[in-house]
Amino acid sequence: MRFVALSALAALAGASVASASSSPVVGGSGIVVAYSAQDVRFCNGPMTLALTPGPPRCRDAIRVTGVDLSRLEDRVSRHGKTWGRAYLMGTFGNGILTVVRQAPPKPAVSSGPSLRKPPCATPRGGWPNGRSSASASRALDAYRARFPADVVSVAIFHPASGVSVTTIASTKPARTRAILTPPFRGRLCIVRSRYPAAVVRSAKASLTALLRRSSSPSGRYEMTGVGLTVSEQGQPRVLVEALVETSGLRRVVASRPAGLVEVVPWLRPVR
Amino acid sequence: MLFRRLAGGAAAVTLVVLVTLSAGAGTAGASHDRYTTSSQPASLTPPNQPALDAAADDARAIAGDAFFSNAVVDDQANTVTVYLAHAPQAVIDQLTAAHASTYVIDNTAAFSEAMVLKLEDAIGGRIPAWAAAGVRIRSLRPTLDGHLEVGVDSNVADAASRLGAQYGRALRVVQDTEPTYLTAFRYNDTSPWNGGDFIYHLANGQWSDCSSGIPVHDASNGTHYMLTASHCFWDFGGVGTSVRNGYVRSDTNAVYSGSSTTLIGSVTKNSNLTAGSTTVDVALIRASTSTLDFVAAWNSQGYGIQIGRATNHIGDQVCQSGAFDGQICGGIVIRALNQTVCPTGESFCVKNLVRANNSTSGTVALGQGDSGGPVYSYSGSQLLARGMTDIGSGTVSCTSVPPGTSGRLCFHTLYFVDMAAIDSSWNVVPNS
Repeated sequence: MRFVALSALAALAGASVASASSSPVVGGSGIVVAYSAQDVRFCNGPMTLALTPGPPRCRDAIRVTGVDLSRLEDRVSRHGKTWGRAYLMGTFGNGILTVVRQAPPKPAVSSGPSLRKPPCATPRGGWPNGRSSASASRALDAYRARFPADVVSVAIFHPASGVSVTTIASTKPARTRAILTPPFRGRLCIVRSRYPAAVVRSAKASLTALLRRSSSPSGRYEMTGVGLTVSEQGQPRVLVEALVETSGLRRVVASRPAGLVEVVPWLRPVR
Repeated sequence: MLFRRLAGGAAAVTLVVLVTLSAGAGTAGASHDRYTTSSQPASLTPPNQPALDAAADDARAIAGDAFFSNAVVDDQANTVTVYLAHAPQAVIDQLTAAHASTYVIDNTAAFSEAMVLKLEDAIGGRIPAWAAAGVRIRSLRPTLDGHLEVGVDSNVADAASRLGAQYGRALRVVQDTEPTYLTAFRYNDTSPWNGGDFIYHLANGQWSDCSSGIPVHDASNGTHYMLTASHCFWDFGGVGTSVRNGYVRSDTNAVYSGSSTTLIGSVTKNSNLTAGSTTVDVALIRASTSTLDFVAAWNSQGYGIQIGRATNHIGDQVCQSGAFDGQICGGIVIRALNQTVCPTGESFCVKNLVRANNSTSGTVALGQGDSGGPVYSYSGSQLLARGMTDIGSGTVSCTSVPPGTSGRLCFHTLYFVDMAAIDSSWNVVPNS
């Protein structure tokens, strides 16, 4: 159960979550599910999306106290359970979010890079309209198959409506540029990758292993997902999604090359 | 049957078209007459047509099932061209004697009409079976020269070889280029099944609503499958769980009255979701599937045609079309690839996920019941398969509320299983 995991986390993570009185105030929007008057949970996904009878699958999520169920948005009561949406702010300790303020849910925000400005100089006359052709995609696939260590990340930037620029972080930018520039017909931006592909793969693999442990009752990192993304400079990044950014998770991230890992927590500190 | 063109065979469709055209012509004529000063409305049927029709009927009777192939009336030339399948001179003499100045005889048809129609019946009854075997028949049409034209949207040479081996040389297999029209909704669809259908299992008061995904087939043997998420039916036993078309209402726990409730099939294969596993969360239901995905709201009939698959890149825009939320497009941008996620409330993790959301805060990308649904991008007006809807995060209010589903949760961030991973894990490819 997540509750047990959070208790363990509280014990391990030191003073920051050792007790409610000294815990940081965090907040976030999500789903409140009251399984009973004593068992109220708070979650925000990620969750599987089969529609089934009763409340959403929030049973092993964060336990909360002090929620006013009558103020939930989109409130539903069925099968003896009540659920709805809210923004909750409170102190988080011993696996419990003790609510100090409740408000309507805030709109879910997009996380991830804004891919508006390709990290290359704009060509004279601007980036060409349209997107790269299917043959350009095939050329990229063929290049990756031929030189598997070269291309570390690929992202499509959109500097203007209807304009797509394929941005590649490569460990061999000269070779990548020489081979791929013709098929992309001006819609290509090559940057030197700050990290070798092996380093990125290794970081992702070790964090994914922690994720699996995190999802077990003895987990202490509160991670919910690990994947690959890019920075706004087109550099590869390992994305870690978590319920909260624990000190344990911060230590893990600090052990990786600077700028390689990005943590996106659901509950964020409130100043 | 999705395609009206095939529902009653080509002959029935021809009749429908003729009736429609006739009705249109009649209406136009009547309208014209009302606004002219003529007291003698133009005749809507050529005066010689009844006599020519009677002559055509006579030709059928005289030549008989053995030799009659077709008859075409030409009221301008005042003739009836009679197509015969190598009739003996005695039959031709009889025809000439009956309507000497009317008949134009063509005695070169390959096979008689009776034989061609018998063949049409035989093949028409096995369209799903042929589809399951990788031959997708879209139309059947007798030709004037005594063949049965079979329109397919799969490999023509392969179809010609296999159909010819079974049914002989009366067939002429061609590429079907006619547009198709959906006549069903997501909740009352029929075989061959489309991407984005409502699907459910209901037993002993417990139920699960989900969506059908990108129509796929086995890359080796052509067997068709409906794609969906393994977590949809895992709690009912996974493989062997029956799946029907429609959905169960959350408010009454009863099946929505508009649902077809047609049995689609049973879960044939699925990812193992036992505690501690990390999988692609895919289930395959053996059933005849089309090349179409619904691309409109939950209660609309718009569809798109799949033409292949596209590689997912960060920054690409995609569309999601689960049954409950309908097509959601425009601004859903891929943010991360190769993601592994351990969903809240589950004891398993899912790998090969692609994470996507809209840069506009609070917008819906998907909701409960959309699991299994198609994710795709457009190439012109056609679709490129991208993956299967699986997980959501970041709760928002739903904007699509099919009857009986208030309280359903919707989400801002979509996690879908990468199509390439589905294909390689299960040896399937999107139908196209």
